[in-house]
Amino acid sequence: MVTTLIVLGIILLLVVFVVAIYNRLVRARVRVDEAWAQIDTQLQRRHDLIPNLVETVKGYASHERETFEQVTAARARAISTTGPADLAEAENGLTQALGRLMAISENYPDLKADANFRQLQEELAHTENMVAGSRGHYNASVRAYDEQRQVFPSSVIAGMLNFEGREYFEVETLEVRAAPEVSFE
Amino acid sequence: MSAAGGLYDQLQRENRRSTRVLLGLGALLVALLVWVLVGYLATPIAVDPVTGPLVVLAGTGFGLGASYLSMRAGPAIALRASKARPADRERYRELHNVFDEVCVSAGILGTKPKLYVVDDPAPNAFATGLSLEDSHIAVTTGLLERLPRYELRAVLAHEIGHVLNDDIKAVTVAVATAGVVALLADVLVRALWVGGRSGGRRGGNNSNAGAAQLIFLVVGLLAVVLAPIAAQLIRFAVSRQREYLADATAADLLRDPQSMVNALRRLDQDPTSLKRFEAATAHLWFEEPNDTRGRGQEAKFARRFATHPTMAQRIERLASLNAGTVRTDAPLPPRPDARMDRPDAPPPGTPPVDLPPPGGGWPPPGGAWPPPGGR
Repeated sequence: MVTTLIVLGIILLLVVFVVAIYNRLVRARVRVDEAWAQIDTQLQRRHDLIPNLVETVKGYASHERETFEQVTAARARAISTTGPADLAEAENGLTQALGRLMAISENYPDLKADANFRQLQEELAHTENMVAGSRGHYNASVRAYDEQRQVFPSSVIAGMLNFEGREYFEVETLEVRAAPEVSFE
Repeated sequence: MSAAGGLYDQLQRENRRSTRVLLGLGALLVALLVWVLVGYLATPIAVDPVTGPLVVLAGTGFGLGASYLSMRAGPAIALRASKARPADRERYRELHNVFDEVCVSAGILGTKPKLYVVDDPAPNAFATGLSLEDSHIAVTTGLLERLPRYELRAVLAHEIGHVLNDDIKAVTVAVATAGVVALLADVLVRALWVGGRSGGRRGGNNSNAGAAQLIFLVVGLLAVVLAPIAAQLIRFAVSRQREYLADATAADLLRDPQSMVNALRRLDQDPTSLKRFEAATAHLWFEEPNDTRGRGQEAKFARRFATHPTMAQRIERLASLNAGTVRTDAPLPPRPDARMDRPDAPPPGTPPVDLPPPGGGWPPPGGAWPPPGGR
């Protein structure tokens, strides 16, 4: 009688333990997915901002056609890409193209003085930071989730209940980190 | 990178734990004072094993209820005392933008703290509230005028750090507890004054109770002197350590320790001190609002009772945490010059009249391209 009770107690404890770990894993996964949705939102913002920006710069520097085309192409590529790794690369390309576009403004004092352009400048800097921020948060969430997936004892439950891993939103490479070239000729 | 993340996580957990310890200590202090008070006024009740704990429990419940109430009201009072007004989204557009960037990095864009502006030329900021859902962050107009974009972001991240590390709760609780303790000590003083005269007669009837009352008298006197000091110490313990951690949290959140160091250095050089602040809200601010610089007697005194570590200490801590990646001697980036949300900026809708300075424009003032950050 007593042994049955003890065994029952131990089983109950185990069940509570497993449920607690399961819930923690689910919460971590939900956080990752929420962070991903946030990146999506921020990237969408950036894509929406670009046509407006290109139009404004065109008004003052219409013959920089090559740069406009690069930006537009990079945007189209970024919009059609899915999946963290590929998307990160496409977005990095867009960041570079945008850097060149903004560098153009150095050569056009009228453009720099344009109220609309300055507003867009702030919006773009803001959007870039929002993208970077949401990316940082996403990666931190993935790291926390990964840790739980790999650390004993939650790793056992993660393995049994099929908690699949999540990709990091990868980091710019070194060349991308370097400031875009600004030419003043 | 993951090691650093782990370290911050651990510090944050410890911080949260110490918030709970603080709550317990405060409750204990209140209970002790109530017991001494009851013991002095009605010795037999306090030493009785049945009624003693009951009365003390009731009294403590009352005391904690009072501190809970003042805790609830605390944030609202702090905001009112500093004359903070909600930051208008149109007028303070860049402030809101920068704030959103911090919130998205912290993953709390959905439950952003409310943002306020205080009209004061001294550059400073504070956070208050009880939880993430009920949190408020205020910045002075001086801060908006003086700091470049990325340093303003670092200061906002420091305040968000206070919110995330549960500091706002700890501070609010500490202040409320300190208030209740002061109140109880005051009641005790009055009781000693009144009870001292009637106590003699009661002591004559029962020498045992008289002796007990004498002990309570001594303990009570000690408590009156020590309790407010203890409450004050709790408040110090809260503030200083937590400032360091909030600096570190901010640098980690944005992956941009350099801007944090720059902001601290810039504010260190700024001599303006707050026009109006209550001594009771000193620990809330980003920078110590009392003037602690200089060699005068007053400054020395202010330093000793400062709620914050000095800026130099904070810079040093942060620089050693991020050794090799930050510079503390480089010239500071130029001040903002084309801020859209400067208080003297024209109302939204009218095109700005001031032309950008030569060489300004892109990259944004005080910022670099690509913007710092990104893990």
